[in-house]
Amino acid sequence: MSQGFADFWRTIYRNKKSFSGVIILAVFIFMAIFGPMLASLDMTVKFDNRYASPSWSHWLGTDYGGRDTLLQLVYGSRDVLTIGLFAALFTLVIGFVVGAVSGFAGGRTDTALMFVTNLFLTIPSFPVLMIVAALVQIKNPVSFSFILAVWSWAPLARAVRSQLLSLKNREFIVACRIMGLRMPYILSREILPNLTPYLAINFIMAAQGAIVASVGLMMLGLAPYSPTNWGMMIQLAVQNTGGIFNPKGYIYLISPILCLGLFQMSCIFFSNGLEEALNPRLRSN
Amino acid sequence: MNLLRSGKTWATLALAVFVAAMSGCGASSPGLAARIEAGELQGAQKPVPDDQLKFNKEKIFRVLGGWPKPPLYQGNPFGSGGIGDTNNRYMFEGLYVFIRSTNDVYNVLAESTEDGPGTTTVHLHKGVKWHDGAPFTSKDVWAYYRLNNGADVTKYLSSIETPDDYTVVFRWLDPAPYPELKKLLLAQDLQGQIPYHLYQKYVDKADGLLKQAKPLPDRSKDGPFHLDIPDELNKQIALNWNEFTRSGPAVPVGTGPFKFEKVTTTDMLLSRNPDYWQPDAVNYDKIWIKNVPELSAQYALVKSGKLDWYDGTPPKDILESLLKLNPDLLHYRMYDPASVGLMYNIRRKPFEQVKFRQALTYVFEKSKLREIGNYYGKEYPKISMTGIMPSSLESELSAEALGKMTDYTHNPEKAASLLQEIGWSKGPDGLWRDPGGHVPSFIIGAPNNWVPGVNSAQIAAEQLTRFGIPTKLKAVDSTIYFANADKGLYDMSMDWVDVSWGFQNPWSSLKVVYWDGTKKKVGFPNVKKTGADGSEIDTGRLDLKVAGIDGKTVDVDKEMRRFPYVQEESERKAIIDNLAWIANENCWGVNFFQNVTGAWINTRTMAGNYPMMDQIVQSGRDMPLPETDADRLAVTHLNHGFNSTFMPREYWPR
Repeated sequence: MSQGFADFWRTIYRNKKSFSGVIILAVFIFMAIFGPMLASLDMTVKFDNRYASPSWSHWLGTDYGGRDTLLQLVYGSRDVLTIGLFAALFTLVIGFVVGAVSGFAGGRTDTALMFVTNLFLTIPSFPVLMIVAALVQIKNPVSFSFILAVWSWAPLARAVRSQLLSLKNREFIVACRIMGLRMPYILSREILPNLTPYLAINFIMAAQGAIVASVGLMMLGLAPYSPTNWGMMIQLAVQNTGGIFNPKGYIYLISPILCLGLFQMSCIFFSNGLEEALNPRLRSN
Repeated sequence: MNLLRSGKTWATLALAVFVAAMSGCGASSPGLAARIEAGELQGAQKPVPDDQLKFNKEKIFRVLGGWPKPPLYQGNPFGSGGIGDTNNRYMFEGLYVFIRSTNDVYNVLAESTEDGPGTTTVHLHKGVKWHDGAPFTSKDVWAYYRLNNGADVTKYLSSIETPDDYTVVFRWLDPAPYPELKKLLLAQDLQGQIPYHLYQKYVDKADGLLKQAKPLPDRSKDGPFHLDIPDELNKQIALNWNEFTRSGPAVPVGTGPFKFEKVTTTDMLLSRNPDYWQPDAVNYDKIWIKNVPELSAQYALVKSGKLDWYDGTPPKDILESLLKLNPDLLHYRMYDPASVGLMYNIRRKPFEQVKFRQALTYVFEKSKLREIGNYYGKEYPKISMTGIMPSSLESELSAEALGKMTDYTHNPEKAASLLQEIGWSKGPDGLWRDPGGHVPSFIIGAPNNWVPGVNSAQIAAEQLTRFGIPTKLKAVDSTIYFANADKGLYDMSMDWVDVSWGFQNPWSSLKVVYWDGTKKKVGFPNVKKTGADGSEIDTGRLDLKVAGIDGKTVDVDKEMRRFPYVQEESERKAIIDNLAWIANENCWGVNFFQNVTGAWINTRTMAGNYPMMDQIVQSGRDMPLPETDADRLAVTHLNHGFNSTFMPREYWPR
């Protein structure tokens, strides 16, 4: 186990893109965990101090209400990462379970599960989310993540099913079935390890997708409005600066865009090395 | 030299010349301030003769607007999505226009008006034609009200008569509304919208159905033309109306100065009506309306001078930046007869307690809410919500009533003391606990596309949270927000408050509080009755009995019903005093700030007698709020009198 772990990190370290992604992600995680402990965010409006340039007291300047931009990014990172990670986890679990059971069981189970999957793929999410917004009260990031995952598991389920269809007739799986091993055992012990690289990449991509999508849900009223969510910060910055029409607001506008861009880039870079690290065949090459 | 020989350099130069040519787009002109300083705009301005036009030779008035996208577009202003609100004023006219913020009424299709005992007789202009060439007659006015019988004024009328083609007699019920209200009730409608020759089938059917109804026994109930319309008949009337709204025509047919020419998803073109009855009042040949929903794109059009007129006031820094970038732009501010505010949902605990609502109201620092919501707005710290436009409080209310009103100026100590009075306590964590020891958390709902509302609600939530009452904002999609708020899904709801949607007088704005939008969001109770099967039936009638200014119990619904018929001004003033005092004292909502909106003129392409000309240079083209009545009227005209007048007739191409 420890050897495998060491190999994994060695591979990541050798892949410069992936390693830089890990470093950036680590910074964001550090920021999310420890940032709010190090400095407190005061969201009181100080209008005369709006759009202040970067200074020692405000490293990234201030926003349209005179509040510190960097501290908002730091506080927002906790929400952003929590939502991203939980949404990715839910997406992965639902997508894997539905796809794997569907592909492995076949027959009517497969037909029924794929019917549901296709429904989620084809029904436009916007009107359904409007109804959900009227019915559901989201009170914490976990339930928020679950709602986000509900609309993103279907493509993964189809992909996992396809992988399963090619795996389930391999000799080692056939051997397991002849031995009378139960489906949950085969899925978790034999199939899951084979899909790990693919799932890991999907996890990262789902996390970044969820962060972007969370702003949409906030603006639908499905979740409470969080002005420090990076996506929401971008929305507020565009709205209050008119995009390019307020030169004083450029740094405020660019800061959350840069942060979100860096986070997405780090996810993509990290996932680039993940496949290599988790797929022994690629690693040996 | 080598540089000039390089192909890339030539390409760059060519591009620069092209960009410069495009941005210049015609003759150059000094900015507005330079023209004023050079004495170019001294004295009364007159329309520029065609051969002297420099910057708008095609005489096109370019503005923004919205409409249902083709193929959904159709010409019935009452049809689904209408024809686009902003376009109404170019193609349709009423008997009168009124200026929403001043209540001035002007004749349009009405040539003159006579008030007799129980009647108002309107003489129509002769020679007015619909866009399809048919004459506009008294029958069209009659048709408007027989078909559109839900119009507010029909509740006060017994009949409409048409003794000849150019005379309409409105016969009022007895008692009739007070004179000013009668005038405004008629002036708020666009009577030239239902040409009888096009909609005869539906008008006659509506008329026939109304004739089947019996008169109401007394004035305790309302009905169009004082008729008691049973449910079955009402359904038939509604069905006929629905069929009418789907009946077209394909393009709008009005009497206005411009006729519909063509529409696409992004552009609409109107052309001058050659048969218009006031040919001298039209200075433009075309109106080109662009549909650009994105705010940043709208600012880009304003900045580049691609619009002649633009409605709205952006945030302070954007406004200043636009004025700096384009020296031809001129911005006017004006009071909006509407305020951004919050309403407490008294259906939910603990908002049913007046002291709790008052405590929260003391927490709000309105200056901060205004700075973020609309910098140019004006806050009135002393009031909660009165049902009267704050800028009119002093003129509409007596000094005595104003003096007796509770002062809600930001006072956290007072808020804490009120909470303690109702058994709340503050914990060591700084959070307030209810008498049961529970720390509540509240939600403020706001429609997501309403920037001043969302921005100020976010600050309000932060202020309450900082005070120790955890509160979050939900910016809800506007298509579902209002229904949700009316159902009471949020603890507090954002909307326009102390607002009148039609003419601006206390009757209109108090109606919003006690009978319309505010009532639904606050959740005032209605009178219930027992049905034949023993079930409880909501009558929809307000059931609110509270202490009035003199301590006696007031039946608010009864007072509201009495109000329009009180002829004596002093008696009406007493009702206004009482109802406004009740609203403030009970603190059903908070007026964050009265909105100030604005209008932009591109003076490069649009000439005219710009209001407050003597202040343009010193104000840096960002004009202050007008202070005299004449200036106020001129500036309000710039905003089309809040969508009720046709502004371009006062301006012309340059």
